[in-house]
Amino acid sequence: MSQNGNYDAHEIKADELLPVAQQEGDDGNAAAAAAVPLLECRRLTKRYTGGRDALSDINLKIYGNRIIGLLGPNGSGKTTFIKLICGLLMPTSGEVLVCGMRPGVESKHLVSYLPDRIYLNEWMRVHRLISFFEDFYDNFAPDKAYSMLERLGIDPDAKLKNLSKGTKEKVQLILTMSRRASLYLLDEPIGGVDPASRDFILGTILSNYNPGATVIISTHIISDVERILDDVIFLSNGKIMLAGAADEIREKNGKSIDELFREVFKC
Amino acid sequence: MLRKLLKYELLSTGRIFLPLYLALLGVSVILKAFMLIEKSARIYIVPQVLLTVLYIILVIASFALVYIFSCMRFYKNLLGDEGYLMHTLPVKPYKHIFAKLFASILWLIASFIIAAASVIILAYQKGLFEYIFKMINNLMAAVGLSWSQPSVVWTTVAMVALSVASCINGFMMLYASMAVGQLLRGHRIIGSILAYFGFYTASQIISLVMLFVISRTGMWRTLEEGNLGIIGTGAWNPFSAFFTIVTVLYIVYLILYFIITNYMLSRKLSLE
Repeated sequence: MSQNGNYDAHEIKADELLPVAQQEGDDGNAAAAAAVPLLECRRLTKRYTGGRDALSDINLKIYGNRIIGLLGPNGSGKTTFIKLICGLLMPTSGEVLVCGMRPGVESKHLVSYLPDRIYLNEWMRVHRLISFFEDFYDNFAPDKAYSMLERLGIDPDAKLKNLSKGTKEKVQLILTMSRRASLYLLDEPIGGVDPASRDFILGTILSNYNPGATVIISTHIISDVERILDDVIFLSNGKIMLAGAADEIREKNGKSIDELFREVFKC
Repeated sequence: MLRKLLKYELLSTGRIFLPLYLALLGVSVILKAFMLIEKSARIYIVPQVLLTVLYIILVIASFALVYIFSCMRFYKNLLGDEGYLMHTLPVKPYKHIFAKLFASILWLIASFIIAAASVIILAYQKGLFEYIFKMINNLMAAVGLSWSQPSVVWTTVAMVALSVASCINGFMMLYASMAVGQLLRGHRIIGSILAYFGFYTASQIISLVMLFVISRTGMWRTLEEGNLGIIGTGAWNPFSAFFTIVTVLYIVYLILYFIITNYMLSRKLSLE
């Protein structure tokens, strides 16, 4: 589901499990976008000391203007994958490239990341946090953040340590979505919230991401997310099991992604 | 970016240090007031003792907290959950290290100034500064030294440089320990402590070897004799030479610690 219905060339390629879906866009930038993938993983492997591979031999190319579901049960490597893209972890072997660059200052300009935990400085007030983002990210739009806060009834003068966990998560989502980024990495954005808030969160994501950007949403709650996904990646034990366009996968298997997920990962 | 990082670093730590300094100065003023009226009323002895204890605690705290916060900020802000925010900022890792280090040095200097100011508040009486200067000059004259000798100035500079290098080295050693310690996933605090003892032992061994080498030279014998008058013999006298050697040693250490910390944060970062 694209915000403007105007598709750039895209490609999601994973271990040749599915034929490469490719669409030519009518946008002049499409050719350039197709030349260098927004995100590329080459034989990406992460092994924690003394443990099994959290991710093993991931090969993947992702282009702009897609909403991608990173789906898998707990411990399948979703968070590790996202942390590697952000440079919070280092690969054991292989590499991950954002617009052809290894994670670094340049790639961090392009990536807007929502972690699966609260990363806020407890001592700050909400408005201070917004100026913090404004100071460090030149693609951060404070007015957007303030209007979202207002819609949610969050007081910009509130101290972060006085906010509930759910409100902190919402503040983090607002900060993440107020950036005009090229790649949004959202790790379990609906994991800990009630079903009513899920719709709000998904709505916030859909109505605020930078047009032309790609959004990767990691989750194990698929039913609520399925309708917005263009592509899906199934991760299992650190390997890509299945990847491709959501429509094609539904058509080929004759069932929804949610049903397929439940079947594939049945205990 | 470094300026902005430093700004938030100071905003965060200033919440602790500014009230602490204010309290320290406040207690000094009240204590001084008690000292001035004490002569006429013995009844004030208990609050005066309590205030003195409080004063000592505050002085110790203003220095100890610099080191405690230096560690806590580095660990929590760069290696803990807050690291998820800090390390996704488009900022080179060395700037994070500099921001933390500069903030720590700044607070350490501020603590020195405030502590000195509090002593002056307590001890001030007319002619205090003249008396101190006169005493220093008399002591120097007794061993045949004066500020007009360039070697005396040079030796003082070397001594100040040594103190500064040793303070920076202290912070960098803590940072390097935590940056290495984070590799021990699940036991990162233990890892940091082990790394600290590792660095400490290694630097002690190197320093001992250096001292052994120095002790074989004539310089050591002069130092042992404790004849301060020798400072007047030239800029490169045994004292200034010793201070300079140790300063250089500290600078080498702190550069190594910086390289280790920067390497760990940029190539081996492993947030839990």
